[in-house]
Amino acid sequence: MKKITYLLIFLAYNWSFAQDFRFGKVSKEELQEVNNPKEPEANATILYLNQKTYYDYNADDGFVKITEVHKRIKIYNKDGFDWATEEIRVREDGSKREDVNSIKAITYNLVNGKIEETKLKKEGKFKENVSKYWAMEKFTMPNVSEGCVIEFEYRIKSPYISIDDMNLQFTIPVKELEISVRIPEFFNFNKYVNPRATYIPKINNSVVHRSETIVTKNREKHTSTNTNFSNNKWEFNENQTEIKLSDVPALKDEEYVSELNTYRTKLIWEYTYFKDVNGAITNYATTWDEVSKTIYDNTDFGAQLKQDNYYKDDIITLIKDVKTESEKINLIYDFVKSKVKWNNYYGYLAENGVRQAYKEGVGNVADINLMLTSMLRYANINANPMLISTRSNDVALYPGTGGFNYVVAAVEMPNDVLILDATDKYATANVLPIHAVNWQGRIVRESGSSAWYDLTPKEPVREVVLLNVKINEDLSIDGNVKHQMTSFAAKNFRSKYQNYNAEERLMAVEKDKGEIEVSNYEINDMDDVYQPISYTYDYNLKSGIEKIGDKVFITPMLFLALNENPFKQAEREYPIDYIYPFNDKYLVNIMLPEGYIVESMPESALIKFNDSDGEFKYIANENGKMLQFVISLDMKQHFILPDDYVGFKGFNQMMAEKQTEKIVLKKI
Amino acid sequence: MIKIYRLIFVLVFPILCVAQDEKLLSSYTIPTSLRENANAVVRLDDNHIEVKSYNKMVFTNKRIVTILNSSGNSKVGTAMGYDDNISIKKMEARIYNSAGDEIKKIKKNDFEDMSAVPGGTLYSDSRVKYLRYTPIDYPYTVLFETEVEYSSTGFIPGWRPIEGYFTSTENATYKISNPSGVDIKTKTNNFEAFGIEKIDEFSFKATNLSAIQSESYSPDFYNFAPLLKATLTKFEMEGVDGSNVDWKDFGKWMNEALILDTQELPADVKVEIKSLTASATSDIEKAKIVYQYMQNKTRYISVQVGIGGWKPMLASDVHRLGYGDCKGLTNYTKALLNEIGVESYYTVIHGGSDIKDIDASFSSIQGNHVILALPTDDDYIWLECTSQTVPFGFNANFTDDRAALILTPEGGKIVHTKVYTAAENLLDTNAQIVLTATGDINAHIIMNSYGTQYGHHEGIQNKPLKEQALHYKDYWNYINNLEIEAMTYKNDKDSIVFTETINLEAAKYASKTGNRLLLSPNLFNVLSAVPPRYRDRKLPFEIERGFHDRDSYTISIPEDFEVEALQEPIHLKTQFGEYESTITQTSQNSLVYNRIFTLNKGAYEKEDYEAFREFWLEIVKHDKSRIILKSKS
Repeated sequence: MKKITYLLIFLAYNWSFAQDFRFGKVSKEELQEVNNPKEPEANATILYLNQKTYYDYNADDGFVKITEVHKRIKIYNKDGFDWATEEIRVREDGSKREDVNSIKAITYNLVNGKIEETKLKKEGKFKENVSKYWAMEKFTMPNVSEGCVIEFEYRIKSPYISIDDMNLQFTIPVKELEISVRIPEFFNFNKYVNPRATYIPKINNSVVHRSETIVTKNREKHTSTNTNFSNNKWEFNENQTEIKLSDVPALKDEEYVSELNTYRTKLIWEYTYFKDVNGAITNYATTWDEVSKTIYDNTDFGAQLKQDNYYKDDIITLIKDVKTESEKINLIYDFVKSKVKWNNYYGYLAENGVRQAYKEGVGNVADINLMLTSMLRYANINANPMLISTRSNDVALYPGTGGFNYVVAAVEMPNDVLILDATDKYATANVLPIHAVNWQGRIVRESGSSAWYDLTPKEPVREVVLLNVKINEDLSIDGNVKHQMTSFAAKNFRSKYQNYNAEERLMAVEKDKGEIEVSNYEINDMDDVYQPISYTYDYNLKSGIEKIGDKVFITPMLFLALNENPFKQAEREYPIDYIYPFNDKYLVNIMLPEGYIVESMPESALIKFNDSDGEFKYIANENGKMLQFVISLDMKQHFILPDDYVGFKGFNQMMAEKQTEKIVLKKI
Repeated sequence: MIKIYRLIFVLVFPILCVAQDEKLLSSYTIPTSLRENANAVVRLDDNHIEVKSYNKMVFTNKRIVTILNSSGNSKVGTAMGYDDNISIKKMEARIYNSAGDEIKKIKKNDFEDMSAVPGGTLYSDSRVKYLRYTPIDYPYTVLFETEVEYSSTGFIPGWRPIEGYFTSTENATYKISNPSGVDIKTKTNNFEAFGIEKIDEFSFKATNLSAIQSESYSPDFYNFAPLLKATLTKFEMEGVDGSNVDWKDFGKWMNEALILDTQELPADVKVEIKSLTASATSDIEKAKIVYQYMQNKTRYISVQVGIGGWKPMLASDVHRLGYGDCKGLTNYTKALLNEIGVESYYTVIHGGSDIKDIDASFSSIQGNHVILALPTDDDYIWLECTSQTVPFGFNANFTDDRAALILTPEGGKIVHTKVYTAAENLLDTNAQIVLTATGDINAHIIMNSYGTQYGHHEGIQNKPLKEQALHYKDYWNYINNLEIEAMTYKNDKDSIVFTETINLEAAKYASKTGNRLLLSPNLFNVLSAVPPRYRDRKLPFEIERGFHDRDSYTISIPEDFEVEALQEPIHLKTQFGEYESTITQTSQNSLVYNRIFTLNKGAYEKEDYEAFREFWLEIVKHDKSRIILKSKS
């Protein structure tokens, strides 16, 4: 019955279009098309994508999720050949295995005006058993040539109720896309479109009725096992989601976008609760209070926070003489960092369990940071776990746990919140590993209340550079540099330099600075993360001065000048994210050689971006043989929207020009 | 590609166990000289290979490695590749803290197991067992013991006494025992220079080898580091017997066992290719038609099955499916050429931008790629069959200038592939520039690239327009305010020349100070990056490929400006290359800038590095030097 309904809908739908998207009905027009009329640079186009997800029912397995995929792809040129290989990732965890079947695939070529079909056979299908938990089903199409159309369909059977994200956008355009998802009322999901996507689809929701004839087995255990069979009609509703899109634009890559997937239009599904036939609800999280409760009830979370006997004695000893709260926090934070090392796995649920992590010294993010939270609480600090979605993950918007994949410790103080992550030895309070600094985190308190917290760093990251320049009579330069950095800048520096030997450090400093020789290079407070880091060095520079005729030219910032605008494209699709506000300041002192005077100096200037979102100051001072410059960039806004891009590009342009301006000296 | 990763795995891991190793488990006992420049210290690495018969071999390895910091983790070596012909009999690891106390023990079944299909390959049966371990503290030490049985003996694990940069070796041994009666060949490189002791013909020992720091422009690591290769003269690969006395013999086997029976084509293809080439007059002309036919018909898909990934797909399958890997596509092209009576040879080679030879003096399984050689009167034309777009006979940047193995009906033969000389690798840039009184420029540029530079330039033509414009903004990144007005391309695949014609504008290119304009006359070919300084360079260096740049720009200056200062002509000539630049005033308002830069191919001693760097610095200086124009008013 159900199948017939589907078929009718399917046929009715297709007949309303000029093109025929039934499997096998590839037209000559499709084969003759030489490019996508709307996006002529596309190497291939998905002509048609149909994906249906629904839950089959049978007495043995209960509900089984079925996903049917049908794709028709036009390949215009050789760069589009990659689309002729399909890879399907399937879960295989013990007996819970997903299964791909009914693969049907044909390549169509136009040969002398006739459509030639080549079917995919066994030889083109492969299965790679990637690990204990998952496998890749792959197939590659036969006889692919420029201009061909390929078409395939397959069916994935899955014992998992949850639904993976559905991509609605690809790196090639889509002409027609149809998604249909039907979910029995017992399974309840939150669904939302990736909020960072630039292409917004229309989604239709409806409720449809479903009727299943089922055979019930009643097993009664008495003296002997007696099984009764009876036929019942089971009536229930299904929530139906339908998406029909035409001309979905290709997802375009861009400079300074670390993860293109972040901006993909996709439908994100989060399983929130199960309601059985009697109406009893098993919650996976629907409101934030439920989220807190669900999480605290989870043994890999709540129970991990409660255990304290494994560390009790150590913590008592650690903080016995400590009076202030901040000292306690630092001591415990350092203790966890040194005690347990991160195994590079994310998650907000403990993998090994805190006790074992403590014993073995290894754990995932949750093992480590739940342990930290627990220890802080034990020391009477108001600490709670904070759930985070990492930068490469989706953005968590709605109540639910699926959007999160990370957890840190948050200490709420009267005027401040300290966010602590003990997985990175160079992290400090509110200076988290970059992957965790994403949008907002959710503090989940023991009381059951919860709240959003904006993770954007508020304090600007400061760098101060003192550059002393002494121009010698032979026009070489001797001088020294002192460079100091705080928070994220310090953290990045420590991570990068930690394993460098003395020579590698020197080479890193000398890199891209012209004909320079650096000596007396010293780093201060390399390992004391509570201090800003600084380094100093002396240098001799032979390529700092330009002499043309009897004039001498020099750039005040020498090798530290930004001499190129990093933003070159005319406009942007996606924002630019510096992650944190920052303030860079250069103090330059230049001593002129005997026999030279200044002919001209760069003028002082103030350049602003978007009122005071960004401010570049350039102050020049001439004082006899001593020239002084104070040059600073204060970026209060770390997030540049595409609409502001042109202005921001211009701002950088002017900065680059200003920094490359020269002092002109002449001989007397 | 051929399965190189397997060879690598095996090469890295070699056997055997002695009792007095206990002191090696503590990091405190590492000699100071071995800590220097080291991220990891191989305390012990005993390799033992027992050739039981021509088709059975057991490899036993015991290694103890101390990891000094997080950069050394990759040297832990606790992984082993396997497949249907390599079975892991024993595998165990123990972890020790810095004092040498055991903190963890990992048994065979606790190792992670996953597929080892390399990137770019759709399928292969290779798998790997590896240890997933998070270091709790540094230094830590790992003891790893394995025993592996091979039922394919085409490849014998070799030996690398130093396992790479920033890694020192305290004790390492390598031994082959051979009760099989089959002759074994070995070859060692650079053993004397590192004092590696030969105990007997098939047994060696290395002690206290310091870590080597990586340096720019240095040759391939195993050009100067010690390396041992070994091979059986009679072997079996997945049920096929083979013989390897020398390259001639080994090549003959490859040709007969791997290639010959794969070349039959369907009857209609035979007819088709004959008719397509019927009117062609020379073999080269015919081969061009065949090559084009193959390029249009196929695409590159890597599926590694069949004799350890060494046997090509059937030519008829490649034809029917329209895809194959380097072996399949090369073999298909060869089959097509056979059909029309044009001779060609299947060629095994090391593919890569770094130049690496097949060792002419030691026949064994080598290489990671296959191409086709087309003999001409006194040389060969090399055909890369995995690309659908590369011009006929173009092999720069990937298979050029190196020893390769060709399989002729008479047997294998080592020949050298085409060398692209500096003169051939030409980038010829011509430009007309108009400068305004405010320092803006407007330019019309024509770049012709040849040889290796053709390979570097031609890729731009298939990029989206937006990326093309961005490419030029990066190419001339030192020009601020650059706006591309127009770009057109001509790709002449017959003479292998790529022509880019670009119109651009840049506001304020020349900087204005008072009534003067400062102008850098080398607008479009500025050398900037400088080779790094080494206070005490340890390694020799080399330039693998030479090139030749020729630039000629005509600059018209604004009416009311005159030249105040021009540079003298520059001419630098060293063993590394030659540089010449001149700027001349040809009329009241016209200047001509000419520049020639030739970098020679060459291998040099470390003592010459500073001179090389200075040559480079000089060029950088002259490339950005400026002239002064003065306003007449």
